[in-house]
Amino acid sequence: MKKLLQEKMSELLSLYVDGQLSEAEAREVEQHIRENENVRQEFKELLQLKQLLASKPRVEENTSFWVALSQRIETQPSYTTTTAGVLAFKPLIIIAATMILFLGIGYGIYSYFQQTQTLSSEQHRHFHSSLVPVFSHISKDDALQFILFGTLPFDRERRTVLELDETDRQRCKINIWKNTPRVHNNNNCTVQKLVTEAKLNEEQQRLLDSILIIAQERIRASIFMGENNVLAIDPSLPSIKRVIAKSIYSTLHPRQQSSIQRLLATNNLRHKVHYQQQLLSETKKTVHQIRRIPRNRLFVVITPDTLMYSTISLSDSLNEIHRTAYADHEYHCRRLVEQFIQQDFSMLSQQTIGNGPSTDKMKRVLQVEITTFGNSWFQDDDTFRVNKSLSPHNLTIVPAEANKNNQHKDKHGN
Amino acid sequence: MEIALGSRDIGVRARSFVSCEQSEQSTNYKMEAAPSTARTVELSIDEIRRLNDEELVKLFQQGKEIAFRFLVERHQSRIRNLLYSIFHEREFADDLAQEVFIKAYRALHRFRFESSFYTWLYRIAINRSRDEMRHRKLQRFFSFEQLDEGVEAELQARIATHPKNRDDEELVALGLKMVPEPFKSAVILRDIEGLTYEEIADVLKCELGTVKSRIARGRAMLRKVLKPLLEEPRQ
Repeated sequence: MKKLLQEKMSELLSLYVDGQLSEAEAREVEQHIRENENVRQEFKELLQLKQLLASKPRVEENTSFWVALSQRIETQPSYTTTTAGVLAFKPLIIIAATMILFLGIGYGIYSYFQQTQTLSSEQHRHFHSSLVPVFSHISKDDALQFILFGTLPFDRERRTVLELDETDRQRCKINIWKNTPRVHNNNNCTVQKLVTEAKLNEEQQRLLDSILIIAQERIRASIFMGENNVLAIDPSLPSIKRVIAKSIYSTLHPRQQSSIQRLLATNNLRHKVHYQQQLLSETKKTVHQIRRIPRNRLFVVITPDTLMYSTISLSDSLNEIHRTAYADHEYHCRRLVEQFIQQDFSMLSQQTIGNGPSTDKMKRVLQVEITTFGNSWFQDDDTFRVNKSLSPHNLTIVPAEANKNNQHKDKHGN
Repeated sequence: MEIALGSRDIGVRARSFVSCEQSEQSTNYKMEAAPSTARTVELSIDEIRRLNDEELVKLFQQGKEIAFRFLVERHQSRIRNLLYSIFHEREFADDLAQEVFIKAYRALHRFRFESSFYTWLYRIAINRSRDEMRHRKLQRFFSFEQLDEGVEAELQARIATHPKNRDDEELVALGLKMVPEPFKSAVILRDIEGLTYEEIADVLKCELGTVKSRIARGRAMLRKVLKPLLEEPRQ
C-alpha cells in the first residue's frame, strides 16, 4: 500500500516538474514537498536529473550525412511495394515476367556474342560500387564545346580536362589532362556565338536546343566516378559525339555550314566538317536518330589497379536528387576528380602508344585507348549509322609518361 | 506538314525541359540558357529551403525529390541524437539514422499528415531501435551474456571516482542503458529531445496517461541508478 502511494507520489512529482498538473494538484504536491523530507529529497533529485539530461551535449553536425544517405538510397533496392498492390496487377505481372524472361534469354545470347568479341579485354563482369555522374551540371555551352572539339572540363577552373583524340581512325583515345594550358581552353564556341555567326532562325535554334539537351543527357550518362579513384567511361562516347555533331551540322543550310566552318577553323578544330545537303524536313528524323544511339551497357571501368570492361550499377531513382542537390554534388565530384588526378596509374601500364604533346606544365593523367573490333570506329560517309556492336576489341591504358618526374618537379616548384 | 509536326514535337521537348527547371523562359530560346538555368535551380532551392515540413512533404509527393534533402538536413541531427542517446555508439547511431531516413524516403509518399513530420520520423526511429534492441537481446540470450550486470558494475565504479576525473555525460549514458524500454525512450524523448507529452503520445502511439506514467517510472529508475551522483551538492 505504501509502495503504491509512493509510486503515485513519484508520478505526481514528475508531472509537477514538467508543469503538467492542475493548479489544485500542484498546491497539494507543494504541500507534500514542504512537509515530507523524503518527498523533498526526491523532488530535488528529480530537478537535478532533469538538468543533467538536458545538459547532455548533442551530437555534432554530420556534414557528409546527406551525401552518404543519397548514395545508400540509390544503391539499396526498394522494398515498399505492398502485396495488395502487386496482386492488383496480376495480368500485367505475367506479361512483364514473360517479357523479362525473353529479354533475359535475348541478353544471354547477346552477352554470349559480346563476350566472344571482347576476348582480349578483361573479362566482362559487374562492377559493384556506387558511381555518380561527373557531369550532372554540364552547361549547354560545355556540351557544345565537347560536341565540336571533344574537350570537356572536369572543373570550373578548367584545369582538368577530358579530351577525345580522334586523329586515328582505327582507335579512339580518351585523355585526361591536368594543369592544361590556355591553348586547350581557347576553343570557345558558345551557343550564342554559333547562333549569331550562322544566323540561325528560330526553328533552328529550337532544334539546336533540343539536340543539346540530348547531348547533355548523354554526356551525363557516359562518365561516372566513384570513391577509391574509380572512373567509368562509356566506350561509345566518341560516336555519340560524332553523331550529335553531325546532326547539328545537318540542321544548317550550306551557307550557314560554311560560316560555321570558318568559326570553327579559327578555333583550331581537329576534324573536318562535312558539307551536307539536308532538308529541314529531315530534322525530325535527326533527333530520332540521335535518340536511337544504342546505350551501352558495358563501361570501361578504370580503378587504380584494374582495367575492366563491365556493367555498372546505377539506378535512376536518385538522379534527380543528384541533379538538384547542386552544391553537394558538385563538391563531391570535385573531390573525386581531385583524388583521381592525383592517382598514379603506372600499375596499369600495358603498353605505351603515342606520347602526344607534353610539356612540363601539362600533365596527362592517363590515356585510355579503345580499338574497335574489325571495322573502323567512325563512318564518315554514313551519317547516322552507329556501329551497334560497340564493344572495344582492345583496351589500353597509357599512364602519363614521366608523370613521376612532373610530380617531382611540382614538389620542388612549390 | 511533316515539317510542322516535327518541329512541334521538338518544341514540346524543349518546353517540357524548361518547365521542369521551373524557369519562365517559355519557348523562347535564350542565349544564356545554361548559366541561367543553373541560377534558377539554386534560386528555387533557396525557396524550397524556406518551406515548412508539411509543404516539403507535399512537394516530395508531387515528385520533387529534392524536397527530401531539406527534410533530412533539418531533422538529421534530432534523429541522430535520439539514436545516440539510446545506443550511445556514435557510428552505429549514424548508420541507424540513415536506415531511418531510407525508410522514411520509401514511405513518404504514403504520409497522410495525420501527425507532424518529425513525430512521424521519431516514430520510425523508435521502432527501428526497438527492433535493434530485440535483435541484440536475442543475441545476448544465445551467447549467455549478462550485459546489464556489467553495465551496472561499471556505472558504480565510475560514480565512485573523483568528480574531477568523471565524465558525467558518460554516466548519464550508462544510466540510460540500465533503464528498460519502453521507459527509456519516453524519458529520452521528454528530457533530452524536449518533446511535449502530447507529441510523445503521438510518437509512441499510446495514451497520454501511459506517457505520464512511463516518464515518471523511467525517471524513478534513472534516479535510482544515478542516486550517488544526484546526492552530491552541485554547483
